[in-house]
Amino acid sequence: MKFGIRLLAVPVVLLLPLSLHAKCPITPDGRLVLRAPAGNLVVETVGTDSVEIEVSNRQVNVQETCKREIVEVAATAPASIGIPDWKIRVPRGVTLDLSTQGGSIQIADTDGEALLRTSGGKVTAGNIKRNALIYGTEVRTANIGGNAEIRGLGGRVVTGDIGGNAEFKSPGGDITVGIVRGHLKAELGSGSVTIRESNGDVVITTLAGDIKSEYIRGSFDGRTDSGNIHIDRVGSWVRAITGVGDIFVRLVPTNYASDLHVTAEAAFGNITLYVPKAMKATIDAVIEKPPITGPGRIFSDFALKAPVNALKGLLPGGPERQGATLNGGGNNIRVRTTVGTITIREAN
Amino acid sequence: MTCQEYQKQIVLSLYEELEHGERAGLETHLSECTGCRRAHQEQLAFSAVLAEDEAAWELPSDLLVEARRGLADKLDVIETKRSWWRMPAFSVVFTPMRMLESATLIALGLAFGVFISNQQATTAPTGFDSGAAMALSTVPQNSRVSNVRIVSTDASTATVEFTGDVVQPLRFTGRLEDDTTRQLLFSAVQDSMNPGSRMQAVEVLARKSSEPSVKGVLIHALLNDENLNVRLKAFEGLKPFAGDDDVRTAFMQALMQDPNDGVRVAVVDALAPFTNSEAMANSIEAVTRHDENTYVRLKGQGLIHMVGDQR
Repeated sequence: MKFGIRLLAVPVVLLLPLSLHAKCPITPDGRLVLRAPAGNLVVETVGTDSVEIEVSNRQVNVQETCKREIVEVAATAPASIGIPDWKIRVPRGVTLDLSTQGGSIQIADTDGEALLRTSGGKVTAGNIKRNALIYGTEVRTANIGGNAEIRGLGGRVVTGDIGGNAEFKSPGGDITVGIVRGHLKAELGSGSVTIRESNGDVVITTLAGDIKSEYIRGSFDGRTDSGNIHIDRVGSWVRAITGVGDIFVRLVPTNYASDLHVTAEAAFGNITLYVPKAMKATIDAVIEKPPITGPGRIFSDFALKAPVNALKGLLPGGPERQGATLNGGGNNIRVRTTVGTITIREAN
Repeated sequence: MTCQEYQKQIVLSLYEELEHGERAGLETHLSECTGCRRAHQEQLAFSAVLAEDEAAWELPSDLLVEARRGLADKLDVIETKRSWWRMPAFSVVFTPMRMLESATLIALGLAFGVFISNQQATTAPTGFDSGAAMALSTVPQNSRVSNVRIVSTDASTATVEFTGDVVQPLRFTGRLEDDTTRQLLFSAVQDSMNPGSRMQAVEVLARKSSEPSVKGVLIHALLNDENLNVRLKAFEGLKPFAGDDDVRTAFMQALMQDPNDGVRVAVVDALAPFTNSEAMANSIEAVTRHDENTYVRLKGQGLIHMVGDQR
């Protein structure tokens, strides 16, 4: 049902800087679908029982379809007006499905889902209680209760805690995330990734930038061509690869019977690894290009020995290789750097 | 030889694995035996069919490695039956036995070389040994020599002259105001091989972006760095100075040329508050008029209205 209120809007314009373009009643857990040609969208979530839309420019032609469960809003506008401001008021539980061809999106706390897309502009959101799908050049949100899929277009992405799984994709820009209850996957053209904690598995690839986390309870599979990898604590298997940069990983397994293999490789960089003394492990540490003078560069709290086939003694400048078997051996711990040091510490 | 044995040789002959004498024997037999000649023709036809599709094959990269490993294992079994002192034949297949043989030969060669070198050193011209020792003493502890190039060798004195680069780990603490610190950071910004290092250096320098030399480096990074995140960090450092002529000019250029939507969106947003004349608004609109990104295009158009409203 169309809900045109253009006649009503005339006196409102005289009082407000924005003109009221639409007002549709909606159920508390309904859905607002808004497709704006261009505009900065500001959404207030209030104790109302309707969707109200005001637009700063009267040349914007808003067409709304109002149903109790879903309100659909489309609009046309001449390009010459630039980017108008849209002010939208909705009940707090309504699912927000908003897109603008250009402009920022700002939403207050919401109990519904949020699907927020802009081809250019920042997206700023308060707490989102359920799932979130966000596309924007720069994204900043508070906590997201459900799953989150966030695509940056080239800018910083900052989120609070995420209640489900999280997926990030961006050509560039740093990503900072709070605690992720599920799994996390991030794929960046370039930029650093900082995750406070993750309860699930983590997969991260970036061409340039650091990867950091205080605690990953699942497995960690991270790769950066140029940057440091620092995982303060990780509960399962690890694959950490960097071209240029240091690697720090501390293993804190909760289940010693699970797969706990480690691969840590740096072309140029130092590698520090903490291994619990109770863990079954077969350690193989190699420095491809050790210094030609000075002592060895593999340090360990565990008793290491060079394998019998090591060529170091025969060929000066050859690789330095050390190995160890802990508790009868088991999980392969493969640590390699071309240029750098390797430090393997005992963790409790 | 039986026909069965000759037919085994047919396959080997197609891969040129037969000795000259064996090959001649096979050819003689083929000219006399109809059955083997037919087998030969069939094998040739089969090979031709395989060769037709050869270009379309994409074998797994590790297949060759696996095959060589399997072959090497078999060869090791055979080698254990051979006498231990025989000289190893040249082969591209590396078995543990052959590796050991090669390593032994290299070790013997090195030992022999060191022995000869020591003998020669006693007759070498005075000053040579001390010069070499001096050169070695200049190689710092924990350093690596890379890019070694032989300049000359002299068989009569058993000397080798070579050049190389000494690479040593560096740890440095300095204030941002210090020239050395700044030069190191500027150097890092230009490290084309390491975008992570450029990113960090730009981020640190951005804290001092009010200084002309730093501002110049950041502008260069914004306009020239191939890495998006380096450009974004350079932009962040320059953003507070969007009203300065040099920064505004750089931003206009970035608006024209940067391939990333995020950079152009950020730049046009940064320019907006400092657009206070019709001429400036028009120039931004001209640059953004054909931008692929709707936001950038509309923002550029909007600035003209904004300036008009202000007047």
